[in-house]
Amino acid sequence: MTNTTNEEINDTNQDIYKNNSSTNINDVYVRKPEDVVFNNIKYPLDDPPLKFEVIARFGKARASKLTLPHHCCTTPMFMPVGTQGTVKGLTSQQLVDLNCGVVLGNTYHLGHRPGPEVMDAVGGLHKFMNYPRAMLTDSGGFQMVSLLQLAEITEQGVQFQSPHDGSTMILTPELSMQIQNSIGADIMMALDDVVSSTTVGPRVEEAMYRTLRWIDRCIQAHKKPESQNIFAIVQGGLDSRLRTICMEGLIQRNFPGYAIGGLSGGESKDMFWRVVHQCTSQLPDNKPRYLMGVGYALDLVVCSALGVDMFDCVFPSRTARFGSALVPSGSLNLKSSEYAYDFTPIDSECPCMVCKNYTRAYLHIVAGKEAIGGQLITYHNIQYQMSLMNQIREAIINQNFPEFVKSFIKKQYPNSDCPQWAIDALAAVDITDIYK
Amino acid sequence: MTKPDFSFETTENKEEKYRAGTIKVGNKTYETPSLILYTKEGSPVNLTKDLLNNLPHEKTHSLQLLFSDLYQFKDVLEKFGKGSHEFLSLQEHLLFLLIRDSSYFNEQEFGEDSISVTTRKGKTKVTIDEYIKVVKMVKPDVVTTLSLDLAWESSKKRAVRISNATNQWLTKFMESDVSNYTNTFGVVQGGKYDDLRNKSIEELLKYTEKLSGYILSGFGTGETNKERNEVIKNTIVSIFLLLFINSFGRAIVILIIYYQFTLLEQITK
Repeated sequence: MTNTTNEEINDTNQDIYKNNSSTNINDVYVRKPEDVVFNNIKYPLDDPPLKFEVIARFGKARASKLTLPHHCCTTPMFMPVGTQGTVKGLTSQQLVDLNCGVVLGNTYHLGHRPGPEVMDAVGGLHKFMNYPRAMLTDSGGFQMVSLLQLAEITEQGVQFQSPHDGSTMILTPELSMQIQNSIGADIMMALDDVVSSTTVGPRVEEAMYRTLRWIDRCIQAHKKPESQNIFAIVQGGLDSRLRTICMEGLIQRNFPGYAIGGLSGGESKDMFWRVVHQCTSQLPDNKPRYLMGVGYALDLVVCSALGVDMFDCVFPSRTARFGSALVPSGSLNLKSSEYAYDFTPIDSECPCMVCKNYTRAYLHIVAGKEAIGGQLITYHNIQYQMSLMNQIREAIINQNFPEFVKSFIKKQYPNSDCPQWAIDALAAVDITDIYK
Repeated sequence: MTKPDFSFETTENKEEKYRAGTIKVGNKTYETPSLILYTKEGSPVNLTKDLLNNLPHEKTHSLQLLFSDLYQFKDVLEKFGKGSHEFLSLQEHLLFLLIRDSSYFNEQEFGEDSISVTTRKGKTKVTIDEYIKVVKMVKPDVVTTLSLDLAWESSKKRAVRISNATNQWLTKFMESDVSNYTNTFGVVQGGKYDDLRNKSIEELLKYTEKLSGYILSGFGTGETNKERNEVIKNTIVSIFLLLFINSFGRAIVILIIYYQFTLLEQITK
């Protein structure tokens, strides 16, 4: 924790705070009286509807069983993103067929359409999208970054204009919880004050303290603690001091799980892994750790090694719609003419429905052009992600995780050109000599 | 390669106004009346293989492959060499190779020996010989004779030109060896002109032994519901009078997906 003098806390002269929202690296944040790390507001249940059991470890990496109200999942796991109640291109049954555990829904979009009234009437998102397994909803906070040109962030919440109908919406911690309670996901994300990872200056610290205040409002607004869990989000940008303060405050509140937020926003990969490493080292060992917005294969492997349990990203489905298929050696741009007469599957070792039935030549015809192309490649890409996570998990359980990591990297980067950040990150958890 | 056996059997029908049937092609069985699923680039829209095969009621579905779609990758099909069922992973289903795109109507240009086909890269001329060659590559369960729909309001002069060309293409198609490769449905054309439709039926009658079924085409081209129903009724009557009384065992397909149920309902009345 930072030391704060009474003079600072008691100072009511607002002028001294005038630069607290500045993104100028030369400005200094002045702590306010309300910037309290822990306000004696704890998560309402010591025994939430979530059970996390670590089954095996290798270094910081762990394989675990995560039992949620709607499904018993295994970790490390990748969670496909179903922004508006559907993973684009896949049916709910296909998600089950692919053995997905948790699927994400987006509070901002679902709050607009169909809205909490419909969600309440239909009995929640599980029934609405007919997905029987576990779900997670984000808080809507990420849209603060993506819609920032329309948004105004205040202590009350985030006010912005709906791109759907132009109406003004104020997303407060209370409203985020209300909508997420209506959606009924197994895991709800607390509303945080999100700043881009490239943001510098006092604004980062302001957002971190505001996140701690908002999370208390989330706790108090949560109406269904017996059936839904809140995960708190660690903020603090790329500043290890701020990350530490944020984690101290969140851990004292004793949440069922913790997310690492504010990354994958354009920061350097070297900073990225160091922040992840710091967070996984300081977050409780007996709680699941969720790294938000991360889904590249190398990132999944490296961050699993650093001790992350859960990941989500639109990448596998979005890149599929552009015709890119994920394979052990990287990716195939199926729109390329080199596949026009290639009558082999995307991946001859992949057991998925697409690889068993369709050739690269056919996918070349529909990739990026017909909806069916996006559907088929999305199906394969989600299978790839699921398979990768399963391999990571099995390697941890079988105690051959370093061998798996090296084999993975050699396939992805056969020319000994694995990015240095990944080699550094793996070395930090004693996985070295990648190419030996 | 020999074509798979084709048969069509109808249920007993005392009132002779309605009929249910079973089409068998090789080891695939398909109940009628039924809907032929639309496809784009060879796949039913939004239905991957698992979704298609899990549709209720039928194990085998029928799908219309658009000639213009498959023409775009004829070189790939030729190199693949195993036909469209395997290339499109539709082995379980009946594939109808059709000229007309039932999702919309756009009058196509034509010459004496060719039609204009619109592909992603633009328009291209396809001769009757090339049509036959592509049919052999695609290896559909059923192919239609080469014909073009004409706009409902086409002049008689233009209608006669298209009808004459269609009849010539029919002759060339049926005299080729394509019937050794696939089953053929003859297309009844003629637009709103009864004499041209009757002429079309008469031409088809010459090949009744080689034809496995008939397609009533030229709908969805600007006609009113009343006009369409009238033509269908008259054409059905003509086909029954000219063909079916002495030639049972042929299937009729109405090639307008938008109006399929309306049309079928109208026929049954």
